Formats: sequence, structure tokens, C-alpha cells
Amino acid sequence: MKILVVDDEKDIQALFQQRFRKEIKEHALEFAFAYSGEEALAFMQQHNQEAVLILSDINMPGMSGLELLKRIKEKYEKPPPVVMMITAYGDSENYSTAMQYGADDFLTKPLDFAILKEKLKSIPL
Amino acid sequence: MKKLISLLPVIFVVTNIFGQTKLPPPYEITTDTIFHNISLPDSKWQMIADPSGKITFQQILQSGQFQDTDKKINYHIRAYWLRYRFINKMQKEAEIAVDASGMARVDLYLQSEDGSWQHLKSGKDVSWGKRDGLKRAMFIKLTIPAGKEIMVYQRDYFNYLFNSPTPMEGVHFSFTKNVIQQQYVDNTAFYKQIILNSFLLGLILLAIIINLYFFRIVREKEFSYFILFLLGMALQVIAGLNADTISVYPLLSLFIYYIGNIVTFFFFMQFFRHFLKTFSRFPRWDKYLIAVSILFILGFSFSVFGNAVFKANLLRLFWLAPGLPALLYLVFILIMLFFYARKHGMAPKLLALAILPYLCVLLVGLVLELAVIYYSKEAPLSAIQSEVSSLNNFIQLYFEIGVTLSFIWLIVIFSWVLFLRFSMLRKKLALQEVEKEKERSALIAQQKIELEKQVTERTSELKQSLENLKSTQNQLIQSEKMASLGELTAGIAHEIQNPLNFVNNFSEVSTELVDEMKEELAKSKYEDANAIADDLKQNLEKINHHGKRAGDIVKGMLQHSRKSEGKKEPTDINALCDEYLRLAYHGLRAKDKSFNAEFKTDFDSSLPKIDVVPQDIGRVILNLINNAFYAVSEKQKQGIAGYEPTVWVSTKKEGNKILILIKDNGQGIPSAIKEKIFQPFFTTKPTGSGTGLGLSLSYDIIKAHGGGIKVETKEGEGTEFMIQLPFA
Repeated sequence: MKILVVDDEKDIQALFQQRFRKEIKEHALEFAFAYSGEEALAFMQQHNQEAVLILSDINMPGMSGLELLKRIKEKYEKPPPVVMMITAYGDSENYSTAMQYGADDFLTKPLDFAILKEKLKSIPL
Repeated sequence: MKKLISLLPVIFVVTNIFGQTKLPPPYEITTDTIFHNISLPDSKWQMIADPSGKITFQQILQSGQFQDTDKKINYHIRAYWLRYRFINKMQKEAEIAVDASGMARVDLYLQSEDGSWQHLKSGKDVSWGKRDGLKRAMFIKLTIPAGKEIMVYQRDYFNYLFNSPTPMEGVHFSFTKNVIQQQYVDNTAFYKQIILNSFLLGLILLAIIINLYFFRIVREKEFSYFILFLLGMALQVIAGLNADTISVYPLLSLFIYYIGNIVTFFFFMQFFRHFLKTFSRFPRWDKYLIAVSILFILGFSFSVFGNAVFKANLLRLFWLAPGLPALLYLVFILIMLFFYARKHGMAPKLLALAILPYLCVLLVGLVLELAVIYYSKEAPLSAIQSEVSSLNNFIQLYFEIGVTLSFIWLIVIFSWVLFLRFSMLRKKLALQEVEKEKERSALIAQQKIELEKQVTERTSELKQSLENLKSTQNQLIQSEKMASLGELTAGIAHEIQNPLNFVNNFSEVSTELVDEMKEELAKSKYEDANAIADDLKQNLEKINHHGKRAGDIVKGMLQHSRKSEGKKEPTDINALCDEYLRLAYHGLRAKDKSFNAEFKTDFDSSLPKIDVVPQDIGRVILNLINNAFYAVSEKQKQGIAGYEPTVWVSTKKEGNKILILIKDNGQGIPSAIKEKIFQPFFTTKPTGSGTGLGLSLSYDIIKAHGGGIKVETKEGEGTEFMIQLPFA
């Protein structure tokens, strides 16, 4: 399963690679990283919808996570990738907007990697 | 026929004879060479006394009860009717003139040849225009043809007002040419009198003008009294200046004379009283003076109106009544002058000298009057008539000349004395002015000192309030800082949250890695263990990095709240903008969860580092960005479809300046308040939401860095702030 992580914090890559080192070793999960919404869209274009799951931060300079979500859900209809939104602000407006745009899940920072792993397992592929 | 006509008067006369008396024989004029006045002999005229004064000429004609001449003096009877006849025995016309000058009014009725009566009149009470004959001389002219007889009825009227009431003396006449010669041609006395009076009047007017000038400057009462005294004199002189020619009604000149006299006397007294200050210096003499003055006024009024009122011959009291008080009055004044002169030198002596001649004239005149009275009482009236008359003429002349000269003398000396007094007073006034000036300058000097004291006090008060203001301003600046710090807190918390997350995550992962590494070591898989150790090292570096990052944020926050004593240091403006943009954004988000706005940056990477106080410039950027976010969020609340709230932050290099541009697509600033936005305490935010100091402080900070802030705005479309900062 290929997961695209979108966040403007570059260290997120090192963190995910270490958190999921076992899964990566076993080739259970494969990670790709993008540091902005624009980069994420470009990646999707290039890799022809390889990513099945997209984990995106909402607050980013330039294109926000919500904008990205909207674009993805509009563009890639069949089968749409699973998009999980991550944000430091767990406010209801962000949540409802995300849900309206078709987000599959909504996580708040700081990320609990144990819960994330459980959720990943439950995604039917 | 002729005889018959001539008979008629005979019949009339006969009736009269029977009734009363016959006509007096006519006076025969045989020559016109007699130069002096002719008195009609008593046998040639007849008279009727008219006590009522109401008998008319018609009544006289019809039933005249003429008697022979009776010259008894009876002052109760004012009107007399006389009749007489003239017959011209010369070969030419006789031109005669009947004397009316002694009486108030004389009426002549002459029968013409056709029997009608001609009425002619003259006298002192007859106004100029109505007089017949020689007006000034008051002679009524009669013309008798050669060989003809003329019948004359004459009415004499006396009013005894201020004129010498000569007793009813009968008829005086003269030849007209002689009267003209005497009264108009040879009358040098008349012209002398006019000249003398005119001179006196001129002198008085001159003295009035000079004393008016004195009075205008020194404002002393005695000058005004002297002027009024002179005015009274002027009135008298005007009245005496041949009053008949200047007055339509002769009585007027009499009243002018009367008033002039009283004014003269009254103000003469007032002048002396004020000049000598008699009321305070000689109170007793002052009282005498007033008493004598009243006596004079009474006496003088008596002399003018006495004869008319009391209908008696009070002629000689005429001079005594006012003369005696006047004399006393002058004597009193002289006495006071004498007392006064002992202490006060020149002026009183001069005044005494001024009065003395007038006093002498008056004294001598009085003696002469008394002599006349005595003489006329001793001798029978008819015998002394001519002597008395000539003595009277002498006294008249004596008074005219004596009084005039002594008046001139008096006026001149008085004016001189007043001039002396004037110059003394002026000196005194000048001295007073000098004194006043001294006082004034002393006062000014004192006021100056006081003023300086006050200025010092005020200055120190002002200094105090300036100090207070300064400290208040500092407090305000500090509170503005704290307010913006409050806005930052949420943003800062969020900013710290991210690095802390990394610190936590990496340290957790590292713990796991240590366990794995131990397993590998137990399996003696050294290469794998080594690889894990490399990861561990990398993680620790990450932890360190994010710890530092959090620390920097806290440091920045502390710096922000610190008092502005920051030093200038080379600063990366791009980094500063980025940092504060994030702080602002996250701060607003933390405060208001519903807030959402896009922000876009465009930093010029070629910017050099410039020397600024980072926390100050940071504060400016933060402030402007906060405002921008506020503007867009306000516009967003209006719910305009398709509106995307956006804030742009960009930097640029332009010449030797760095430009920081902060732009929003908010509501813009109304032009009405655009001028005010940099003023302290100006805010559009609701009360309590903003201090109104943000932009004002920003402006001051940028000025202090030698830069400038410009604003461009379009209402409804957005605002762009441009900060210019120079770099060396």
C-alpha cells in the first residue's frame, strides 16, 4: 500500500520512516512525501494514482490541505484515494469542511502513531 | 369863503374857552440860526396829565381838558398830553426837530392843511424801525412852510426803567440841520465811545481766548470763573456799544446789560474765592463776601427796576444801591489779598494792584453822586437844573472813561496773574508727570520680576507635566507591546507545539530503536546495530534541532515583550517577515477557530542583511499583518460569494532601500480616515479590541530607522502598506 504524506514540515519524512520502519522493511507499506499541496498534486499526476492513501496536513503555505482534498476528490473519481486530514486545530469548521469535501478521516496533531497504524490496518484494500 | 373856513377853528376855540382853556399862543419862528436846543416857553404850551395812560388822541381832540403848564413832579403819572403851535415868520421853510430822547416814547400829531392828522413817533421804547425823524438822536422832524402855522399835539410817556426820569419839562426842539450837525457830524464823544468800547470788547475777547487755552491745559476752576467773568464784561460792553443800533427792541440791550453785570459780579467773586481759597483760608471774610455780593445783586436790580416798580424818583439811589456793596466787596477782597500776600508773594499783590484803580474810580464816583444828591436837595429845582445837568454829564463822562480804563487795567493784570499761575501749574503738572512716569517704570520693573517668577513656576509645572506625559507614553507603548504579545501567545503556542511534537516523536522512536539495537547486538548483527545507531544519532540531532527551534521561539517572545532598548543587528528581513507572518496567522487562528485566510509570500532572496532592531521591525510587520488579517476577516464576514481572503507579504530591493509590502484584499480604508490612521489612539476596532497605538508606534519605529511607511488603499478592494528601510 502506497501512502502519500503531505506536510510542510520536512522532518515529517524522517519521523514516518522511523515510525513505520518495520512495515517499510516488510514492504507492507510504501511512503512518498510531498511538502506542499502543489507538490502532492504533481506527484499524483506523475505516478498515476499510485497512492492509495493520502495523509495531508491542513495548514500549509500556498495551497491548503483542504484545497488539496477538494481537488483530489474532484479529479480522481474512480477509485478515489482515501484521504485522511491531519491538523493541529481540531475545530468543527475545519472538520465539517473536510467532511464536506469527502475526507475519509480527520486526525489531530500530535499524531498518535499507534492509532494511525490501527486505522491503516482497517483500510480495506 | 376863506374867512369862513378860518372861522371854524375860532368857533372850536371859543367852545373850548367856554369849556376849559383856549389854545396857547403860537411860537413864532423868526430865524433858524439858533444853534442850541430851544425850550418852548411855558406860556406857549398846555398839558393834560393822564394817570391811566389810556386816553386816546380822539378823546383828547373831542374833550381835551388842557391846563396851563404845571411842572410838578408826579412820578405816579406816566403819560402827559401837550399841545402847542408854531408859526413860521420866515420867508423860507422852517425845518425843526422835536426832542424825544429823554422819554420812553413821544407821539406827535400834526394837522395837515386839509385838516387830517399825521402821527409821528420816537423814543427809547420805540423800536428802531418804527421811529420817525432822526432815529439815533431820537428827534422828530417837522417842516413848516413859510408863513404857515402848525398845530401840534404831543404825548409824552415815561417808563422810568433804567433811564433818568427827567420830570415833565415841556417841549424841547432844535433846528434839524443843527441836530444833524451836533449828533451826527460833530459828535466825537459818540465815536470815541464806540472806539473805546470796541477796543475793550476786543481786549476781553482776546483775554477769553488766552484763558480758554490756559483752562484747556491746567483745568483749574479759577480759569473758568475768570472766563465767565470776562463773558459778563463782554455782555456789558456789547449792551453799551450803542445798543439802539444793534437791537430791534431797545429794552433788550438793557437786559443784556443787566445780566452782563450780574454775571460779571458773580464770577468775579467766584474767581477770587477760588483763587484765594477764601472758603478754607478766610471763612469769616468769605461769608462777608457772599453777603455783600447778594447785597450788590439786590441793589443793582433795585437800581434798574426800582424807579419803575416803586414809581418814585429813586434816581440817586441808582448808584448808591449797587455801588456801596460793590465798594465793600472790593474792600473785602483787598483785605483778604493783603492777608494772603503776606504769605504768598507776587500774585495777590498784582491782583490788588489790578483792582485798585477800579476801586478808586468807584469811590470818587460815589463821592460825586453824593455831592449831587446833597446839592440838588438844598437848592430849588428850577435854579440848579443846568448845573445839575452839567454835573451829571461830567459824572457820566467820568464813569465812561474811568471805568473803561480801570477795566482794561484789571483785565490785563488779571490775565498776567493767571498766566503766571498757568505757568506754575504747568510746571507742577510736568513734575507730576515725571513722578508718575517713575512710578510706572518701577511698577513695570516689579511686574517683570513677578512675571519671570510666574514663568519659572509655569515652566517647572510644564516640565512636570511633560515628564508625566512621557512616562504615560512609555506605559502606553509598553501596554501596546503587551497587547500585541497577547495576540501572539496563541500563535507562539502553536509554533512551539510543532517542534515539541517532533521532540516527543523522535525521542519515542529512539527508545524503540535502542531496543531494536540491543536485539541486533544480542544476535551479534553488528552491521545492523550500527545502522540503527546512525538512525539514533540522526534522531538525537533532530530532537536537538526542534528543541532549539522551540527555544528560539520562546526567546523571540521574550524579546518582543522586552523594553525597546534593542540594539541594531544585521537582520534577515525575509526570515523576520516569515516568522511574524506565521506568528500572526497562528495567533489569529488560535483565537478565532473560524478564522481562515490564505497568505502568500514572495521574498526576494537577494536581500542583504540590514542593521535594524529586529524585535522593533518585527513588531511593525506583525502589526501590519495583523491589520491585514483583520481586514480580510471582516470582509469575509459579509459573506460575499467567491471571496477568498488573502494576505500577501513580499520583499523587494529597490536602489539602496529594502521594501516590505504587506497587502490584503480586505475592505480598504475609507478616504475620510486615511489621514488619521497614523495618529495615536485612532482605531476602527470596537472598544477594547485595539489600543489605537499600533500604527502610530509602527510609524515612529520606521522613522527611527530612517525609513518610511506608505499606504495605498481602495475602498472595498484592499490595502497595501509599504515599508521602506534604507541599508547602508
